[in-house]
Amino acid sequence: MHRQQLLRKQDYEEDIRSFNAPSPVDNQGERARAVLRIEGLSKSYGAIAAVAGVSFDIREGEVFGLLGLNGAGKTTLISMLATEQRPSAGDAVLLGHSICNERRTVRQMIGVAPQEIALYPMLTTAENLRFMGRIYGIKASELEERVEQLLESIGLAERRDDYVGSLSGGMKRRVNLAAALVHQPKLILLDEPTAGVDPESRDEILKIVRRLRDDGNAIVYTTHYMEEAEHLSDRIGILNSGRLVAAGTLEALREELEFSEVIELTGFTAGIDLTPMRALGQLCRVDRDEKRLRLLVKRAADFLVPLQKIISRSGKSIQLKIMPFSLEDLFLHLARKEVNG
Amino acid sequence: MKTLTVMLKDLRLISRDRFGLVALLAVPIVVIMVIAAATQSGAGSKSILFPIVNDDQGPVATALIRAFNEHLDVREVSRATAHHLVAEANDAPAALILPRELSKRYLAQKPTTVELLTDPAQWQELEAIKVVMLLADRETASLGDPFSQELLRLHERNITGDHVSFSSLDQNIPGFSLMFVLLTLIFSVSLALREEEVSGTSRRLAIAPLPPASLLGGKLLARLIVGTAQLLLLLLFGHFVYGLRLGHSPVAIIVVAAAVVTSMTCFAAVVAAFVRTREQAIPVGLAVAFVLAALGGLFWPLYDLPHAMQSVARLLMTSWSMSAIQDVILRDRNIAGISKELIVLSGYSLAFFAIGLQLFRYGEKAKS
Ligand SMILES: Nc1ncnc2c1ncn2[C@@H]1O[C@H](COP(=O)(O)OP(=O)(O)OP(=O)(O)O)[C@@H](O)[C@H]1O
Ligand SMILES: [Mg+2]
Repeated sequence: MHRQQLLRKQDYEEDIRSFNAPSPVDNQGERARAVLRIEGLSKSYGAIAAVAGVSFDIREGEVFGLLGLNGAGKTTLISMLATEQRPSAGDAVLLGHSICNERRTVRQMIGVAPQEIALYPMLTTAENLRFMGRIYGIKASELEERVEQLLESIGLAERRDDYVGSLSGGMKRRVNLAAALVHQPKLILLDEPTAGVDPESRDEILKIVRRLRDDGNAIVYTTHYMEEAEHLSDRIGILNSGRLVAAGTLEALREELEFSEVIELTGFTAGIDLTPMRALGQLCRVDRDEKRLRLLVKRAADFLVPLQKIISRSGKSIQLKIMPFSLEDLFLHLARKEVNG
Repeated sequence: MKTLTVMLKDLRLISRDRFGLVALLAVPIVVIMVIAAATQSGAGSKSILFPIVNDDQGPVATALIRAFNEHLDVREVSRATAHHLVAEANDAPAALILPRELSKRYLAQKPTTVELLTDPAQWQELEAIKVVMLLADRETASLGDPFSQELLRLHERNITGDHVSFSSLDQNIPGFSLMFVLLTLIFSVSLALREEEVSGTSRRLAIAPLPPASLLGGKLLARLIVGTAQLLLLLLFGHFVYGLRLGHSPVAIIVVAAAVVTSMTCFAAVVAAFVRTREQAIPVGLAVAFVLAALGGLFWPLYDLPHAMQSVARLLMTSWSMSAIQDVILRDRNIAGISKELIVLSGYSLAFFAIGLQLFRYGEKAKS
């Protein structure tokens, strides 16, 4: 059973009420203010539970990295938060306003960069941004400056008068992101903002996101790139078949595991005998294929003696690499664990 | 305010489609020129066979026949031959029966009904004949004959006096212009909504703090402005190139064009709700526009339709549009004179907008 799914509205209404009450000024406190509280959010399409009872918080000045394989429910979750789709169950509260019942208010406070580019190809970069600004009711006197500032920050000031249709994919991505920011939203929802861009554009986009975070924005960010989430996110959530199977800082997620490092041996590994290492009793997991042997361990340093023996015996045909358990490893581990039951 | 923003954005997008803008005028102008060349009365009408059964044999019949003979290939025949030529051989679009005692009654100021046997399939020639009959009436009148308006009745309908003096151009230029404006609107409103989906911007707008009425209203306003300009320019083209009359009141023609285009734009929003893909826009648009044009009297005068269809036609905004325009350009009416049509067209506009908005909302909701 999914615990979150059983969470009923009554169960968290109390929280919302207490949240609505003016809270003591504790912005400087150890825990930053929660900007968004997601409570048991679910969405079903017929028999498919695209999102199944997801609950978590997003705080001020935080990037929350939402990871998941294709079809895990990331876009569905984002589009519910964006008030585009109505949840089948549950709710989310943005600074005291329910995404279900106060859509107008919430919409004004949210900026969304959809997964697919959503811009007018036959309007120029500046015209696209200006249009979005007007739709969000930005005063004409402030709009020009705001647009200039955004164009500057996405590095496209020189392409301001070019049709968006004539921009490269990476540039479109940046405009797509900027279009979500014109009205200075409190919560920024970014659905795979780096999909299909080259490393340079990606860096550019990540820089923008970091700057937004530093300005105190709350950001939800979905991606397939584990590495990206690792570098950018303050906290990470992993969606698997619509369920949030893990959430927290990378350190916290790692701590929950009984291992934290990977010993990787490449080369002619078929003949390696693992008995002496197993004798140490701390080997958690072994992944083996023809050319590679991966050992998941708590502390790689404990295995240095047997490793040395293995390597010296093999001559130069085996290379050794010790690395921390990456987010990608963690993610795949969690995904696999879930699938297996 | 936001409605205005959407409208300005759409106007800007429209202005970027140069080819589309040129086609907006060029295509209907080419079609109007072809139609005009094919149906222009006068030179061509001399070849139209017009059998006349002269049961009267009096001076009025002689005067009429002389006048018709100027423009048509008049042949005096027997009743049987006339019937054969029209109904069986289809060589003549119509035959006229001038009854016994026509002259006598006429000179005694008694009204007489003259029967016109017609073949509706040959509507264009028939129309030419009707125009000639009108001319003949005027010509005989100018000769000093005491033709008074009530004395000659065609099919129990008075073809003189208040009745519109149709020439095929008076019918075809406004008719085809309206048809093209309607077609353009159905296409462009449907496509503009689908385009918004293709570019993904409909998703952005769906979650923007902007009511659906502003969104749809803004898009329609942009189309309405373009459509009104298109209609007025086509009528002006007809005026300068073919001498189409535009009536006495420029204000009335602008107001009537705006009212007509508004009802068509709102109607297009309803149709657009049923057009789910760009590919559907063409067949659906063509079918709807042609049916409304044909039934609404844009291709031919309403009196050419069977009675049952005429009653259907009176329920269509196209027939109200056409009659409003004809009131202004042919009957020289001002705004007050077409207030009934304006009220009806506004009613249609409101109803269509309400339905279109409801369908649009429903469509947006269905996606979530
Ligand atoms: N409109 C819809 N109708 C029916 N099923 C849908 C709809 N939208 C999403 N789904 C289903 O919900 C599940 C989650 O889809 P979603 O797009 O949220 O995944 P995702 O994590 O964003 O995937 P990706 O990484 O490929 O973008 C999938 O099984 C998908 O088929
Ligand atoms: Mg997705």
